[in-house]
Amino acid sequence: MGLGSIRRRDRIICWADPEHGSGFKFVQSFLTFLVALPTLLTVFSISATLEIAGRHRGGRGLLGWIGALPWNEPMVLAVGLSLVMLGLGGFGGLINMSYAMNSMIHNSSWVTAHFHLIFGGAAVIMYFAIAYEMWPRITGKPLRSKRLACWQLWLWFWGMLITTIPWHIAGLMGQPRRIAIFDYNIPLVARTAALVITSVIGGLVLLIAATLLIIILVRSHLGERALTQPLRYALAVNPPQQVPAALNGFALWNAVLLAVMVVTYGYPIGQFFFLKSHSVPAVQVTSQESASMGAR
Amino acid sequence: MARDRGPFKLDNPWPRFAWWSTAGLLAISLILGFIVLGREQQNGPTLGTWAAICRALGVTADVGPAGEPQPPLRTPSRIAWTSATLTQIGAGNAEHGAFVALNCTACHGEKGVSQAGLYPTLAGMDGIAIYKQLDDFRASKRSWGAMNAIAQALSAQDSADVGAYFASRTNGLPPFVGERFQAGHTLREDNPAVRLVFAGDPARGIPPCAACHGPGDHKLGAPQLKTQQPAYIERQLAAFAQGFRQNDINEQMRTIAAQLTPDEMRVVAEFYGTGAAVAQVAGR
Repeated sequence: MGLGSIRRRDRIICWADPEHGSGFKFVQSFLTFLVALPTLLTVFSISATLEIAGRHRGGRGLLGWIGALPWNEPMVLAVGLSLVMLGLGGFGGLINMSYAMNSMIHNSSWVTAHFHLIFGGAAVIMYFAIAYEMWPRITGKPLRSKRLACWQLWLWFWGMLITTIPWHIAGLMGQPRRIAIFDYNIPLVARTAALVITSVIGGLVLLIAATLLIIILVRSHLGERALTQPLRYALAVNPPQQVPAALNGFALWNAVLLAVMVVTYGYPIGQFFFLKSHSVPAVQVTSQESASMGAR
Repeated sequence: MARDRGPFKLDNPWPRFAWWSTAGLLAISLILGFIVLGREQQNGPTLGTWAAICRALGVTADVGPAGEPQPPLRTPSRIAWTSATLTQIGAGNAEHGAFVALNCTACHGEKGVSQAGLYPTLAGMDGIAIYKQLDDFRASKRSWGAMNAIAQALSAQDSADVGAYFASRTNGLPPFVGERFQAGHTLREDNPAVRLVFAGDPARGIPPCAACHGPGDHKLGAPQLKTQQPAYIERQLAAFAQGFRQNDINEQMRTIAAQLTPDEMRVVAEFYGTGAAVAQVAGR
């Protein structure tokens, strides 16, 4: 996009980011903000689960239950670390969803840092824990070392923080995303060099952690086949007596979701089919090319 | 109990709550986004409700360019690469072209091989490039005293013929066909000429010269540069950079040349002209 179109965009303030009218942008912002509600419910239920388990194991006092949890179990450790990364990434997410603050970090490295922290951190570390849980049950060969698995999770956690925290800051300093080459001779770009190098070091830690994952799984796979204990599911402290039909299936919620999608995205996507301001003139390339071949 | 009925039965309170709360949230956000936000935005006058709704939809009367004074429209060239133009060039008669080319020998050298840095070698040059430059001279899209007068004396068919004649000569510039791209040159290339010709400089938005002018690749209308007079190439780069020459259709040569330092223009011209990488540019 050239300078000219930026100036033009500046004048036409009714357009918001992805060529949506500002009204739809606001509606989408508002509804995205509501994602905070189920996220907080998730954080609450996971924290409460951990607390109840900690107190059952003899944890006392305001924070004593945290120490009483079995942190040398990969699954427990992963849940705890994932929760921390979800919290950090979630606060960043509040800025991404905001109607006004988004314009400050839009299209900057902040966004790439955010989704690496949320997905690569909070989600992927759970995949690792699931692998440690499921791999032995699939192959019948137990994990050789839970200690090493915990090391791997800690390395991934710290690697992800070292990678993404400076990355967020570089974005705030104006580093754009989707750029292949930065010329660090330019003073404005040179300021971000130390942050980028820190990020790269974090990336190396992540690489070590990823390699360790493979080593752990392969080592266990080469071991003796031994029957592991059967999979046990957690029991609810207050078992449900009866589940309302609406909460026992996705049908109602899929219908609600479809209605919300049509209201919020129906017009913004439909407009591309009839608004003239979005049309791009067609340029025939192939016929010219073949004509030039014929001329030769 | 009613709440155990199907999730779409409206006497079940759960779907009633789901639909009403969703509708309520949508209504609140629509009112805020389409009426309040549009009316009260600080960077413009307060709008009426209808105008606010139109603006929030993106349907406004002010989407056209504002009434700022626009510079007069200027086309860089009359030539467009339509199939009609290309057919005419392709039908050039080299025998008649040889006769027309008798006019060129005084400056462009006997048999079209220039002996002076001021004039380009024409022998071997792509006929399409010659045709375009002649038309640009004829229409005063490119200025060079004698050439404007000479081109005005030629018809479009003469231009095509003389282009076909010079393109058929084998004593001058090597043809695009058969040249191979020199792979393996990267942005870390030490020699600035080799770097610019084969890798460009993405940080300054400069594509590799070879992508259009060869060796190894070719874009319609771009002349090959290998063994061209180096002083001529350097002079044209300077003319593009300073805006004296403006007949590059998409302004690409003006954009690129304005980014080059005088030293870079010299080494690139020398590299193409002599086929060898010469003196390094100090400091780069």
